[in-house]
Amino acid sequence: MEKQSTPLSMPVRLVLVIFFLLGLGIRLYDLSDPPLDFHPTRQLHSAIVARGIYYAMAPDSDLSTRDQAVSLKATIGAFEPPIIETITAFVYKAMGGENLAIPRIINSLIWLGGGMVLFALSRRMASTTGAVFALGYYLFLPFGVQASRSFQPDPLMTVGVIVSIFAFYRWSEERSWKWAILAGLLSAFAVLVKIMAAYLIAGMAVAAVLYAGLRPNWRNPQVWAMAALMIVPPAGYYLFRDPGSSADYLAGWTLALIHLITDPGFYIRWLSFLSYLMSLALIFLGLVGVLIAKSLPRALLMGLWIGYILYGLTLPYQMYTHDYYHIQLIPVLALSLAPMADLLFEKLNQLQRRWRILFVVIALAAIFYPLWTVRSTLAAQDYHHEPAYWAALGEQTPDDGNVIALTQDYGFRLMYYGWTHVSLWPSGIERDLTELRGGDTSKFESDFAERTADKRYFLITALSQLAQQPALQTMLDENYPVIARGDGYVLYDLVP
Amino acid sequence: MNDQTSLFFQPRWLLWLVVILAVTFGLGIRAYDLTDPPLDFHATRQLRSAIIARGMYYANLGDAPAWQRERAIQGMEAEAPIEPPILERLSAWGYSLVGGEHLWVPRLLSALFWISGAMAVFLLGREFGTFDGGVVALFYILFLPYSIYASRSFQPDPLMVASIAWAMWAAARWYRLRTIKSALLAGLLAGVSLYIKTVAVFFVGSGLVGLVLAGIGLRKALRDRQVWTLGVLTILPTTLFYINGLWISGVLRQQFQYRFFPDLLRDPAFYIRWQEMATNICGFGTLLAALIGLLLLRDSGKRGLLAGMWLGYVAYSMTFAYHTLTHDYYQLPLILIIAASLTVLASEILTRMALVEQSIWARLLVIVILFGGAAFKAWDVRVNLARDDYRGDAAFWQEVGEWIPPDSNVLAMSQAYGQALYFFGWVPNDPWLSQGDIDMRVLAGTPEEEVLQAQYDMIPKYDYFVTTQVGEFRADARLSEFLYANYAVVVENNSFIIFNLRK
Repeated sequence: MEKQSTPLSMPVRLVLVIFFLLGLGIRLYDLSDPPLDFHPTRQLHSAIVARGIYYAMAPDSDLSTRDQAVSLKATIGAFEPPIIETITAFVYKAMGGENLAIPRIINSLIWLGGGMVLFALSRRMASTTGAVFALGYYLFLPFGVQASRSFQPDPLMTVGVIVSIFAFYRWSEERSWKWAILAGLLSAFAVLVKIMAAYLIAGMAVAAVLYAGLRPNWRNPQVWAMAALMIVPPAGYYLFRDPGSSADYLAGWTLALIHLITDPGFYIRWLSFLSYLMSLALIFLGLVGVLIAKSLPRALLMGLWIGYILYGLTLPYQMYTHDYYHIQLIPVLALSLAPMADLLFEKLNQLQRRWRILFVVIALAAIFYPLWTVRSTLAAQDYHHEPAYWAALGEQTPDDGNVIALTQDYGFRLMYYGWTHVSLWPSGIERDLTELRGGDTSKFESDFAERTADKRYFLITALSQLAQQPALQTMLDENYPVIARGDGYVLYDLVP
Repeated sequence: MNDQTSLFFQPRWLLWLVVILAVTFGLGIRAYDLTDPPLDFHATRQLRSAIIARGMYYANLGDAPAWQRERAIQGMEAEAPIEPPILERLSAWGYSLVGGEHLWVPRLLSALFWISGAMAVFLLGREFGTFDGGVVALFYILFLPYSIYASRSFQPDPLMVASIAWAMWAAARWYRLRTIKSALLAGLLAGVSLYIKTVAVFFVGSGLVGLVLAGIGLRKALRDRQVWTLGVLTILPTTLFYINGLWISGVLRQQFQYRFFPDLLRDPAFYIRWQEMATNICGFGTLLAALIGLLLLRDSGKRGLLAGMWLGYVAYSMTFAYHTLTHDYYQLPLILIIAASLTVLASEILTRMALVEQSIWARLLVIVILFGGAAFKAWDVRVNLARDDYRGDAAFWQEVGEWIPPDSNVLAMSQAYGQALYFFGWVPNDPWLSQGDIDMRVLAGTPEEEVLQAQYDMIPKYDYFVTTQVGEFRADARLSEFLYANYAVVVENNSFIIFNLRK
């Protein structure tokens, strides 16, 4: 096991510099494209929150704009403390304006910072060569590239998990108060950023304690201090700030959907999704890597994997529908692959020079192919035209009555670019989810009457969604006049 | 088996239990939906074999109606030979055995051949590393989804890949044993492989050359009687077949038409699309892991064998550049090469595991991963096979066939080059070229107008024009206007249109 104090050789330093430059470069590619390339709902949610925070602390801005930004922020739910959004707002302020490239740069830099800690950690867990491999996977996995440049708390949460693992690892090595406190605080920070981090951190923490033996740790004040530091701050926020919101989340996403785990198809879909995101072969290799890892890393990695599995079992719907729910598995898999890479490099070292050169060619292909894939995807998607479209639509939307809309991304495009808040008519996916939760979606007429009771207009911008809801289309076409129709939208008057 | 050939799957019965269960499971998933007509995967290629096998079967079926027998034989003879019809002959015998023309017979035969090839890969594990590595490669070649679809199809490729696998195994074994008996076996298996489908020469030939050059050396090899035996046995059967086909019977003269498109090699897009085709099927990560396996192979001769096969694959893909991009089953040999290369990496990993972690739990976890992964992939395939049901298609083609009087000359714009109409509807026909085929001829150097004119010149020679691709037909304004203006419609609906070219 290498210590971090062992100096890095010049070729390794060079490789690291190249890795980080490439990692940053690919994340900054197509920087000015609006954040609609990857889970626009989630990114626009953060954008609206950040804008609200920014305008609230920008005293020289136009008063009506400021009020509108703050009130739009207030209309959307807060799932977690707006840490990344607040950092972004401060940078907006420092830069003198709102620019959605900024959170992309911030998250990319955070991710790269996490990469440095991951490298240091995997050096300790395996070796320098294993760490280089782990870092390469972490930086260049196409899914990781896309997710880590998106405006949402998940990249910061993932980096929080990485530094927590590092602190726990160091505590397990040294058993010092310094690392105990750091492990507790960093874990609390990660969970505060997003509560999903709790699963991995809890799994790892239990593994770290069990690794040294339950009985000696039972009386160890460091363990209790760590536990208290880890649990109290997040619990204070999630349980006491707005207990109703946490309870709703638990009821809606866990309790109502837990029945999914009894369906074998769920596991197939989960695995299939993971395979698409991270390569099934590498997941299996990572699991084998855990088995051949040294004892301490193995214990912590097993804890992390068990935490991830429990996470999947308690949030089953997201496991095959929301790719960013798997982002925190990237460093876990990278760390699990390090011992495998270690073995590989050990064997490759025994080869003749010409074969090692061939290996370098393969390694370059392994780096540049995913980079090329991501670049091609980003180049193929262009959303520059969207802000103007939604801004124009926002201006055309009447303000003399409430609007209900069947629209993209929970109405966030209209809200962010068009500065317009609308109530939402559920999409087909939402209706499916309601049925999955045991709800009834068959009573269309009463549902329509209830949802449109205090509304004056019905706006449709998701036209394909309307085609999938024939009852709604018939209701609108047969009973209400169209008062505006344009490229990609229809507006009905509900009170003609 | 000594302990060095399997360190991980111990005790020995565990190794064999895992292999037997994997093979049974692999056969099981291939036998699923066995009776669905072979329209699920490259229908043209499968129906071609089905038509040949039918001709062979009906030729010996005394109690068949004369017209059926005649058309079956006529269909077989109309198919230009590309390779010896071994699978088709075996299928015809199978039909006789089960008492009817059941298309599940060739499906089952292909699956069995593929599984035998997978066993050869397992045995290769012992030659390249350990049986442990062979087990991992066995799972890869059996449960890669594409391999499941392709290996139950009625075409010679699964048999060819299996024969290459056995030839590889025999060559590696000969190199280890260096006995005349093992040289004879290797030569025979290599010869069979080339005889089944000549393109196997790219893999077997280059593999053997790599083995001999890297393991023995050219000068020494030229004086080695075993090398000569191996070489002669390898090329003899296929040489005789080609001498007969090209210069005596002449039946093979057409087979080089529209095969080579060297211009494609100058287009960078070719390499990108080739890479996409290969990685979509085999997985980019797996491809890299396999290449690393090649590097880790310590024995120079065996590494020469494997490297020769990789280079053979490159040469094969560049030789048949057009087919590399358009026919995914041209990647089937790559699955074998990757599986063989994976044996090396997997052997290293499992050997390390066996040394580091000796508990039964580690073994159990690996076995769970292997079978869990296999079940996951197999389930995916099962869902697709269950969803795609072609049983109704046969009735459709029969309905089309009923509109056409016997012994008519038919020109067809129809799926699978009219072979579905021929096979299920018993209507012999010549194909109206699709846009893709016209493009291919243009790529080969014939001007588009010349190809089209040749098509139109054909029309008066036929009695009926049938289209079952109504959308494509209507989109072709020139053709549809010409036919509607000059000929009478016999029947027209959303599924097919028939013109009487004599009215």
